[in-house]
Amino acid sequence: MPATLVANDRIAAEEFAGEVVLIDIEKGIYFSLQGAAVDLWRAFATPRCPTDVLDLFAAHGGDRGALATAIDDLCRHDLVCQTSAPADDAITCSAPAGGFAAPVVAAFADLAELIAIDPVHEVDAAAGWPLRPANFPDVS
Amino acid sequence: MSPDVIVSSRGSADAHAASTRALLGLLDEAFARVEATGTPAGRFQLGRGACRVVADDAAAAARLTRCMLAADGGAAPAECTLAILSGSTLPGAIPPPWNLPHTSPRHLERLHVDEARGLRAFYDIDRRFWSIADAATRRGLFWIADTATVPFWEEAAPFKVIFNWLLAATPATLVHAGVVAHHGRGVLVAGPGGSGKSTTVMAAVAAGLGTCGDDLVVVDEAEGMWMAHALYDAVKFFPADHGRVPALFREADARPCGDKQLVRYSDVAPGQLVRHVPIAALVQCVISGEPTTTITSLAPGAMLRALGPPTAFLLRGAEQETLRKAAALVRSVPAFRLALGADPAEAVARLRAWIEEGCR
Repeated sequence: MPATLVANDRIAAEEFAGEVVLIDIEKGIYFSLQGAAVDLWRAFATPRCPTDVLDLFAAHGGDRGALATAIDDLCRHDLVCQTSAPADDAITCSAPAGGFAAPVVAAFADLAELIAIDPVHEVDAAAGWPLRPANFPDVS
Repeated sequence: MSPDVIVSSRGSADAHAASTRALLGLLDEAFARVEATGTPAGRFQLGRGACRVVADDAAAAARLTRCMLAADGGAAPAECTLAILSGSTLPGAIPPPWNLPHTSPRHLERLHVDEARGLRAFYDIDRRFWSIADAATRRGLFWIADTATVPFWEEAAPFKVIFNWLLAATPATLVHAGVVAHHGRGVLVAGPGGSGKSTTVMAAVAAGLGTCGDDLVVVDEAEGMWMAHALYDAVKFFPADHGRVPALFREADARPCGDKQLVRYSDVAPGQLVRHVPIAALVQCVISGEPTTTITSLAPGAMLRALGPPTAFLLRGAEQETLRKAAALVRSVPAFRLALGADPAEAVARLRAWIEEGCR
């Protein structure tokens, strides 16, 4: 597990009625976090050591295995990312009444076609414009 | 933006700020050209206010603003100005290409965002046009090399990205949704393409109800009340869907728009395009496959997922503001699921009765 993680600042997010809705505009995917995944998202608003987060949540009754899987999901979808910034050690945790609900990290790709039909992602990532990748189809 | 103002360093805040300055220079240059030689192309409704449009090519401006809604002659001053500049008419007025240094991941999209300044710019390399909006000076620019290459979708919903950027610093936002209006109440109808949104709006108009549009509307909140505002006077539909499109629309004098047909509401149902209406309910539109239509409560989170991401993906460059305003709307207005039955006319009859009952 990475040493320090923080919420990816290119992800648009809105916490709402016990759920966090996130948008990854580059990938054309949006997400819904529910249950303890919301608490994890809040925890990584500042740089944190994931092991510290897991220890704290587990000490408050969280399912360590499920939480670790949820952190892996957050990393896999680039919702949180590694950072070289120092971890914030001042972690506090107040378990919800009744304990943590099972973490849910749900990804939705049904809108990805909106990105695919609007070809704006065809640049060479290293070179930037005006260079296109050699294998990019001519859309003009 | 001549080559001598292009910065060469990569990745630094200074280089990013220099790109912002270069784009502001481009905006100034284009406005100077249009103000000197262009002509007013009209004043159009934008939320509660208006947008003045000036252009150097009157014919192109008339084509591009054909589906916009003229401001209603009120005393409110124009709140922003959009300049349309083309290389078709002015020698030497070809827009410069994108040549900013790569200082942001958004540059992979040819999108430059300076949130502190409120400046956003996008360059379409294939059709060679710039869309730029500067919230600080309330100016927008659409600068295209050749108006013959204007994408067809710009005719049905022109300048939508520029308008959303100009609104980003205000309480308003565009949303990817339609509106059915009846008895002074508006129902915001959200859903992705193919969910029955436009079909429902067209059936509602055919049944005598009002609308603020079927695809993109402006919403805002003032004194605790959310309002929807018409932006575009147009609806598009697939010819193959004619079985579900009311005769009012399919028999109208339609214009081709890509694979679809485009009809203006004002041509087929004058007076039913409602400029402003309070929003009484939000509905997520889905095709149920059942014979009859049902309307049931919907969890607010599901409503936000139906409204926020589709809008943000369609109108890139102001995602966080769009999502925040969509969430504020969903927090304030009750949400429902509109599960459409097989017959659009039946769905509208159900919707009409529900609105008359107070959307409960």
